Amino acid sequence: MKLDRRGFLKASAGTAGVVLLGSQGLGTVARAASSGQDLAMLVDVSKCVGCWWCYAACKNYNSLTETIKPDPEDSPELSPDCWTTLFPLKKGDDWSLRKQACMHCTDAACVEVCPTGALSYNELGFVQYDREKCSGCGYCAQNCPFGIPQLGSNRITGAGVMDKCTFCIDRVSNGQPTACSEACTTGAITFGQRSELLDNAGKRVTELEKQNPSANLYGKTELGGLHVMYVLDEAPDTYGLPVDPQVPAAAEVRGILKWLGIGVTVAAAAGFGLNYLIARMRIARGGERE
Amino acid sequence: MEVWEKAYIKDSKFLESSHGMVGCVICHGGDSSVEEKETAHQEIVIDPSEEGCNTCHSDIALLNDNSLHTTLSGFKSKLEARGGDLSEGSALDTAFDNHCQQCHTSCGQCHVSRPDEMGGGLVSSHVFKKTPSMQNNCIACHGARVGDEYLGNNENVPGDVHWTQAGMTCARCHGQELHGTGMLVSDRYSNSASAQCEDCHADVWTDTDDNPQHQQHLGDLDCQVCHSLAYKNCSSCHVALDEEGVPCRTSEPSQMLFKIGLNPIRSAERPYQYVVLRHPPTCAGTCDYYGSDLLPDFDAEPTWKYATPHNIQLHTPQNESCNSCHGNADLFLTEDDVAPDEIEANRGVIVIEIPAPE
Repeated sequence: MKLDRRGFLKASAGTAGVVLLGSQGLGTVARAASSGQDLAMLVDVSKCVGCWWCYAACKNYNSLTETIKPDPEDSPELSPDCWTTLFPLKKGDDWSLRKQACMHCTDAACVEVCPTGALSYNELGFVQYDREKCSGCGYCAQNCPFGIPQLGSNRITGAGVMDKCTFCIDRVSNGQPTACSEACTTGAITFGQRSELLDNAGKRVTELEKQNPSANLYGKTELGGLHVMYVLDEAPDTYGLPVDPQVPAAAEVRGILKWLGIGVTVAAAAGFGLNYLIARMRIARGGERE
Repeated sequence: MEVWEKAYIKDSKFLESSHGMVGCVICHGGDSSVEEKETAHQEIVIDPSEEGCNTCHSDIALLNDNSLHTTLSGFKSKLEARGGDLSEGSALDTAFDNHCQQCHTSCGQCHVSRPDEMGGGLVSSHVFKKTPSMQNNCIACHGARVGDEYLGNNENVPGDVHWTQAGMTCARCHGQELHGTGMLVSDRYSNSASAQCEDCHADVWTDTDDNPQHQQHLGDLDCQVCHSLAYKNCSSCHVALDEEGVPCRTSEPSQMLFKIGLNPIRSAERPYQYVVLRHPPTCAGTCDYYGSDLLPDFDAEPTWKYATPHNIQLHTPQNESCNSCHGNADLFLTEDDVAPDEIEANRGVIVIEIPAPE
């Protein structure tokens, strides 16, 4: 197919538009810190007995491949087929276990770095994942400060795939609690309004501090406020949590690059437009000469 | 309809419960990633009780680890007292595994299904019951003697007033004690948490003005001596494997008897001189199929055992008057009542001198 000048210009303008729209989709939306009215979960590590009911309820509700009750010695890793697990901390002969799944950060590194918009915030503020949009690039896995997203590979194509906790969005949108919190029999996982959970967490920490000065609350302010917070009986790093999680600098640079990309795209589009106008003018002049 | 749809696990009461939320695999194992049944069912755990329940119900499970229902230490202690060798691989141990061990109950066999010994099967979908079903669980095993007594199934013997008049199920008296106290005990009478009549009828100690019999006999007679009726006694049980290797047993027809004897386990908790005695099925040759003389010191334990018949009545033939008992040799276990080869074993419980008439 021969592309004449007019055709080329039209195509160029169209491409610029698509790139521009795409860039808009990638744009970093400045997000306010969690309002406190958000729904959230509080995990009280001191109340966990390690029954793995949360793990099993998640598997069962989300139709993921199940296994018999795992051993803390060999705790399952998070994967596209395992959205919540228990982080094991050996204490003498016993285990202390921290439920580990997506924290649904208010300022989520994964959303920041995702180049295809597969990771985004939903209307309730949780980090949602769209498998259709995922290119399997693995930026989310590289940048999450909690190590939550893990890539598997498509069995047929071998392409990377990710999947993770949805905060039971379909249940929560219908006024139901998350499956893991509903299944928790000891009250270690509670679900509700973030402000209420923070109140409860504060009281619980005060109570625990009487016996254990290491007791602390994690997730109140980290990354704009996490939607999964913890009452811990040890320092966060003991439980494998970063003390001061940050959106990695690479993600910040990517954010800047995104805007830069938009700028370049706009400039390119403007250039194309200008080029088009100049070309039109020249063509018009050429016509006059003839 | 698919086969799995016929399984009784679809009750919404179960599916909406905490146990129902977590799916099958966490407790029962198997491989949920495959659709082919044989592969999916590999390494499946049919009765996950011990491992499955302990984490959440640790308080009860820890107690239950040493309960009679779990350890069967009641059987073991009596066999060992009679010189039985229960060491791994011994003839008696094999007999124990083939027969006695069938009475072991797991958590689930009381709280979700019927006991395996009685054929198993879920009681009410897969719904867990905090209090087991009297009919499907307790009486499934404890039916021939206690169950028949309690419900009044023995010919011409009325049921227990606690059932016939008050409709009390087993659990009304027997609650947490069934999980034991955490101590390994040799029989149910050694369980300090066992139900006692006085738990409810504490007034027996204070109504002595109105009730001279209580004043006279309390502390000397077990309650059942005056307040229970004839009960089933078994004998000559012989265990074996049939031609197909399936455990089986034979015994003499049971006898309805009421026999008062001397207390074989007199203690501070059970100070009574006289108690009701029951003959259980065991005899010296019960395990002869597995080897000769497996209980070399058979006479070390009486074959007439302390009993608490569950057919309690306010009025019984023996409490009609003083002389219903006093001087009535028929009510007492005498040498004539005991099989000649068991007399030595029962020396300590046979009544030599019948209480004189008033």
